[in-house]
Amino acid sequence: MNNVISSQSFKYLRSSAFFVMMILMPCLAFVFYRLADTQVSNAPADVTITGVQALTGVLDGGFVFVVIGILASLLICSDFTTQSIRQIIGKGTGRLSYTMGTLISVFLFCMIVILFYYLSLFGFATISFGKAGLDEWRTLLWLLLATAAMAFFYTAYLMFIACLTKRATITVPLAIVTPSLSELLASSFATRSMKQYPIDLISVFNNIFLHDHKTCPRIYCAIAFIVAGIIFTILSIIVVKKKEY
Amino acid sequence: MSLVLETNSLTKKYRGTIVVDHVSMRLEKGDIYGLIGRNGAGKTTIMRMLGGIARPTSGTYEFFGEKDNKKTIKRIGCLIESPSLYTDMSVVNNLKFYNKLLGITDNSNIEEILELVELTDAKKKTARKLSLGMKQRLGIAIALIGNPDILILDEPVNGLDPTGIVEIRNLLLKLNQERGVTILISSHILGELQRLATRYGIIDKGVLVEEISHEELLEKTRQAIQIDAQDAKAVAVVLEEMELRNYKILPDQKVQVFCDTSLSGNINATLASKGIYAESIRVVGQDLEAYFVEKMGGADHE
Repeated sequence: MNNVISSQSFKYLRSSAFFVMMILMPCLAFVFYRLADTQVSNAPADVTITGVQALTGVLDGGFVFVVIGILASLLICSDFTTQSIRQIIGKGTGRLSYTMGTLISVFLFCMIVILFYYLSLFGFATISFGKAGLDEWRTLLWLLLATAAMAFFYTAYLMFIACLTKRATITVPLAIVTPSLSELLASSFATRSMKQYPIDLISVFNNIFLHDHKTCPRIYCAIAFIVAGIIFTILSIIVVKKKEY
Repeated sequence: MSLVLETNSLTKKYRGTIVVDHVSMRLEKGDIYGLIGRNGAGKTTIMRMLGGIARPTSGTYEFFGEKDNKKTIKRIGCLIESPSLYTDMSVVNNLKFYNKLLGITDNSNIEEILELVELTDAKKKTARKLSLGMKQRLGIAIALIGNPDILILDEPVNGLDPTGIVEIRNLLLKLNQERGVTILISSHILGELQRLATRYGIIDKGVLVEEISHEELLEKTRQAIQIDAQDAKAVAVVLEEMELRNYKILPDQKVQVFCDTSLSGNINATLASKGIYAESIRVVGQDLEAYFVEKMGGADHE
């Protein structure tokens, strides 16, 4: 599995998708920072808004999902679209090692992009808001934990889709629409009581990780994402083991 | 000669349809084994099973006499259907990727392989910018990572221009003769396989119709002028006079002359001038194409 992680990382470091994301993320971070900056500037005189509060106020979880999704889909699907999966398996790489190694590599690269995004965002915020931007470090840590849990879940989910369909033309659009689709489904089927505790991906991220400051719901949510990620990992392994390439 | 590959009743079914039907074949060390068959005959499926990317429905195969294929798979290099290249990456990085996958930390083998496939000058080019022939050679270079003892190549000259075909042919001959690599190659370009293969397996509708050596094939597809005359010995004397010494007298007194078949008119005229009248004089023996077409179920089969 180490060889798979090493070779996939070598490839991803040379991937144009990864570099486009690394350039795009600071630009998007700057847009969010400007929105937060405007919010702080427009705040009433008797209300104190810290930098992190302002940033979490303008952050949108769905956006993070879409970014992770597109990147993960492109990275995972490169082996299927080029049919290199045949060569990889033909070289004696075990199917379990391939699935796990690819999943770990993609997860790590998604986290690098996301970390780069948050660092850019809070970098801009610190420049603008001074030390206040770093005051609420607990919120920052929760944000990272939430993103890591979500990135794992979403990578595993897309790994499963990619292994099943073997096509980037299906996986990438699904990566883009899934967050919105989950929101649509949740709002269509949710009962009144469920609406108080939204079950769709974006709402979980926005309402629980960003705005609910209680520890327990955050932990439960992170565990739920990790468990869902593990389920999709197992499903991916089963698909890769069964499929012929 | 040691056995490199042996398949025993290898069978593959897709949704109830038999694609490969009880194929049993043997490859000795140093063989260039040409798998011939029309499109859809089952060649690629056999290669996919041998390459470990498809599972046989029934039957077994052994590389190097070892039943556990996990132990031998690293001694096999494959190029199935099309070269699997990361088109965003350079030639050299494509090879480095597979070095890392196999845990090879010393990249010195890459220069050697690039030289062998004559891609040294193009090593920094991205794979996207390579010509089809260069892509095929890079595909073979990838298959060569790990120094395999056997190469499984599915239609490696498909779509190439004549120059590209010659380059691949020379490369394969070099690998076979200089490195002793055993090669299993499929193609439906008969003339090309004839220049390479030392043994052939003819496959039709998933069934291995015949296994034949290059020498046996030459014998079977050797064309001759057959003369049917009453006195075979008199015919032989005339042939000697004409300096056509490569002939044989068959038990039924017919004479077969192995020479340029366009000489049949000359021979007939000379025999007549000596008072020997042939009852029939005709060209016998199939050419290579006709032989394979017949074995593959005939031309009406298409």
